[in-house]
Amino acid sequence: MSESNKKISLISSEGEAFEVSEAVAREFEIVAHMLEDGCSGSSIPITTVDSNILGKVIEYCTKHVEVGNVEGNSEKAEKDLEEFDKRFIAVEMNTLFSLILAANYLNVKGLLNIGCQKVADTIKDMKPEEVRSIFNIENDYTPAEEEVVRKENEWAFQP
Amino acid sequence: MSSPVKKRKTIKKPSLKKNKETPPLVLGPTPESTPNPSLPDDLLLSCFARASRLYYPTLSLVSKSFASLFASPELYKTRSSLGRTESCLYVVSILDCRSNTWRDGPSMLVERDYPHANVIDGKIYVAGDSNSTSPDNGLAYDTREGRWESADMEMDSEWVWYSYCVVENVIYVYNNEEFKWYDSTVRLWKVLKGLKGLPKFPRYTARLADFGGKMAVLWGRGVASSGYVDKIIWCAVIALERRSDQEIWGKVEWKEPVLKVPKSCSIDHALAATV
Repeated sequence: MSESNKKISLISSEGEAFEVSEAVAREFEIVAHMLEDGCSGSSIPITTVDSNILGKVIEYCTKHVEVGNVEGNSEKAEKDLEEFDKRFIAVEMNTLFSLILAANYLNVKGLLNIGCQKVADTIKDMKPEEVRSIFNIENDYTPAEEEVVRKENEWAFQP
Repeated sequence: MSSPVKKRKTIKKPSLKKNKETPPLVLGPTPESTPNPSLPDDLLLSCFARASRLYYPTLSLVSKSFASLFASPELYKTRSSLGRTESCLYVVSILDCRSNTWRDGPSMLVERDYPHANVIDGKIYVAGDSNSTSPDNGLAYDTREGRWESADMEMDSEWVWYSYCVVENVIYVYNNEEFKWYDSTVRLWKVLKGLKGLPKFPRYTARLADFGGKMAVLWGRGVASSGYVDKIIWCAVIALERRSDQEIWGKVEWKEPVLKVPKSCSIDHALAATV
């Protein structure tokens, strides 16, 4: 039940159109700025985000706009939203990284926040090998260099 | 489905050979073997800033570029802008300030050997042995007035020059196996109440520090099994609660051995820093 029933089409990198209400589109700060700058077109190309990810970001923003519009019972709404966020962000690393990149580009702060938090929570207890495979990084330490880093931080590596 | 994402130079993609040797991903083995998109440094920092600093040493082992991110001032700026700073305890052995430039303040009224100083309510209190014949009470330098004055004598009486700290404008000391605090309104040293669970340790081995509104206590203890060649530094954190104008209660939140050192090491000073 949005006050404005103006629809805006967001176009993914594959050229697929996603029709959303203006309120949802405005959750993308980058779009909000475009609209404020007088860009009155009803379709906005989001060339760096593919359909799969754009669809998810829209799902996230739609939920947050809906909850934001509900009056009263804010405590329950907040809890629901927290639950939604938790489920929403429980995705494969590949998708998570794409969501973070999209949220950063589109400037959706809430999504960026839960995405980065999810990465932090995921990697914090991992072994360096596991983190490397997630981030596609090669171990560029020689064994001797690695030993130096271990020595410097010996206190942290005790069981 | 690969999203069109800029690849960063700082993070290398693995060679295919290497990739085969890596064990299956713990999280989300991707159906297609497309590598995860790379995050640029600013987004990596944004992620790292949301984890506790306790994990940083292990994560620094991932690669040199990771290590340089964990050591970068930007990370601490990000933590600060996110409100993710944590209080950390640093044990400092020697600080050589000679290479810095200092401006002289006005001279103290009485010369002090082994001076020890503290800040309470905008005044710097200095105590220590005086080798003159004048009364041996402490001095206070009023930073607002820019001058020295005689300090409260009663306060000076229990203030041992190593085992003390100031937490929220209250000075605490550890002396005679007791923690005491100075009630400046009635000019009396009072025992910190309710304190349980701490072993007895000599006051000369103990150092106290303000740890974000709590009190950190560090002390050393020789390790018998090593023939006292090694020493263990213990740390305890005491939560402080003011129950009325006249009482402060302490509760030991945790105590743990934190560091093994040769017996010749001693704790000189403890400071907490928020990073």
